[in-house]
Amino acid sequence: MTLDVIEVTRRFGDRTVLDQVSLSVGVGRLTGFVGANGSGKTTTMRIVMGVLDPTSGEVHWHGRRISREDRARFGYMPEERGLYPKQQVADQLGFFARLHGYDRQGATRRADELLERLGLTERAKDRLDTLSLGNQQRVQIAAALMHEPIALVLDEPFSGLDPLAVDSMAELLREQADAGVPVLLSSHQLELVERVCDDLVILGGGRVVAEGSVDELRQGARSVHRLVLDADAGWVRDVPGLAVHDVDGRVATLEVVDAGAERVLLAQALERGSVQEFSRQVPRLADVFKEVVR
Amino acid sequence: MTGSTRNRRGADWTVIAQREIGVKLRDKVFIGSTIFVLVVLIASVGLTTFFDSRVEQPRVATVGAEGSQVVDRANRIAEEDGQRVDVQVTEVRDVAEGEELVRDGEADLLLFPVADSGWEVVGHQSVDASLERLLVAAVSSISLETNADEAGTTVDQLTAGSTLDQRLLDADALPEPVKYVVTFVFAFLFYLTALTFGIYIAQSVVEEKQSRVVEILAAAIPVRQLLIGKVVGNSLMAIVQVVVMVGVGLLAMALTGQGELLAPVVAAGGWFVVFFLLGFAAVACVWAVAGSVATRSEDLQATTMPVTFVVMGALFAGIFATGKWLVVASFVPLVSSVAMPVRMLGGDVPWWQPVVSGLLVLAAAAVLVRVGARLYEGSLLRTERRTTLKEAFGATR
Repeated sequence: MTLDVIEVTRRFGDRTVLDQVSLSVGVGRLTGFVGANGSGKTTTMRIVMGVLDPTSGEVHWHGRRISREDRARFGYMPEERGLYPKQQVADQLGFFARLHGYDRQGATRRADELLERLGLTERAKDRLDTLSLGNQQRVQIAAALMHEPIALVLDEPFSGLDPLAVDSMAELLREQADAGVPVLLSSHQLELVERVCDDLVILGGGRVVAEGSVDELRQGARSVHRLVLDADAGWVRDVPGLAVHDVDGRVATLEVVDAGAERVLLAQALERGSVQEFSRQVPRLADVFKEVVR
Repeated sequence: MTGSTRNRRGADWTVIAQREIGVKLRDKVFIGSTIFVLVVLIASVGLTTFFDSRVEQPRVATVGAEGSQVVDRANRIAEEDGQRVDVQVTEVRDVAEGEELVRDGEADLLLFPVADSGWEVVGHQSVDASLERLLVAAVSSISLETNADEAGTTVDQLTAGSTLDQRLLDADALPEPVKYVVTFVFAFLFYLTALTFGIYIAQSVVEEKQSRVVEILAAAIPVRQLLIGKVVGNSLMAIVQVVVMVGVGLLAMALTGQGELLAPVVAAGGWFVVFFLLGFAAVACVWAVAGSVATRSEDLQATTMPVTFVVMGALFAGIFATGKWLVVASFVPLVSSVAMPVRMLGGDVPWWQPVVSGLLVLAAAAVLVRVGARLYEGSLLRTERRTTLKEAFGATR
């Protein structure tokens, strides 16, 4: 794929924070990186950006070891927000552009362009620390986008944003992905990642515990069915090959343990009366997450 | 979009240096304190010139015409001597009236002739020593003339063979007190500037570390470029400030009529600027490291302590070292920033010595930049707590 983390291990002293982590981010894909606090998301992203060295393992870009020049063209948003609190917004964006090789004019133009895109034109001359947290976050993403990056690595880009801001941020990231930029973003807000991302990497205790497209991961989860009858459903508990989660009057939720058990169940139900509903519940990612991290 | 305006590679540290300078120039505290120091400097020059150029006009009451002659003579002596004194005279009828004037503060002194013994001055509570010296000179000069006349000879004959001419082997050397003052000023300027700008560098490093901007920077450019940019930016600002201060100081000397001292001081001042620049660049790297091993601004005091000692060492070596020790100090990098210009103030330094000493500082600066960058890289990316030097060196990068 485009950006590959290959068997990266990182130890701090005796503590192993990352253990043989491998993951890939494809062109045009929004890849969500989820995991509990302390699972190693930030460490992984810092290693991808080269601000931390792995104990072992490699990061590849387009199939070869990533170089300093490649990374210099990435857009990066660190975990704790990294900007100068006391500098004017447009000024510091210009500084970041110049750091990436823009000339003065080009830097100013690019800063204006992005500030307008993010609706921050009126705040361009204000000091960063006078902006609301949400607006600071927008400036932060602008800083990451200043140099038209070839890849984006964003640590918790949605944290601290209100629902409207989340939507516009998601839209912005989708645009980037559609333009062919691989995007790796971390979050602990699963619902959000589920809604926004194409691919998912779930990290637990420094290891990748699940990886794939959002759909694949949902499929892979144990499927839960809902059965609604016209009479009491208590008998369902006696059908073999099922794990019944709950029976509430005429409604049962259950999990198929042995393949084919659902057919037996349905046949018995039809013998006893009519079946009003038999459906497969689409699992929420939060359930997938709990399941794999457990 | 703007892709065509990109110009990859090569501009990294200059962008950092420009930012450091730009931020400083917009920092109200920095601007304010610089203006304050300049105003104080200019004011002190102004006051010195004012007091120096003011002509003193002591009032002397005299009894009889002879007294007026003494005062006239006193004024002539003062003029020949280049003293800014213009003694005013008030003739009074008798001693009692004169004493009255002195007591009322209308006159500073009463001068009258006393039969046989010569003259007497009467003051209120004290007699101004310099005025008394002047009057004594005038009285003795007049008496000498009178006595010579009476003895049938002339003053020139009487004083023949009594002149004492002065000749200096090293006329270019500065007088000892001037040298002392200039030394002190140079040493203190270095100390002050190295300290203030050093703290700026350390703060700027720790701020970036604290706000995590450094992660973005380190991902975009090599850490060494970041270090070089900071050191260059702040060194430039420091040197501009020093040049302005030294310039104002020299101007002060010119204005206060000490122009003849200017040439050797300018020469040493020039060297001072050169050595300051070299020494500051070297010490700046150490400051950057002091900043980068701290995690929060609060830690700075502890981590910058060793650098402060080095700078203080340079200050004291410049002020107190003499003879052999001063020569040794003038070749020790960092310490030489003060010691070498101070030696040159005394004259008698072969031309190759400052050159060698300068090269030594340069070499030290090159080593410090490398070591500094390594420490900086090692410690910068640990933001959890203060880093020990060992850890900073050991960190793999």
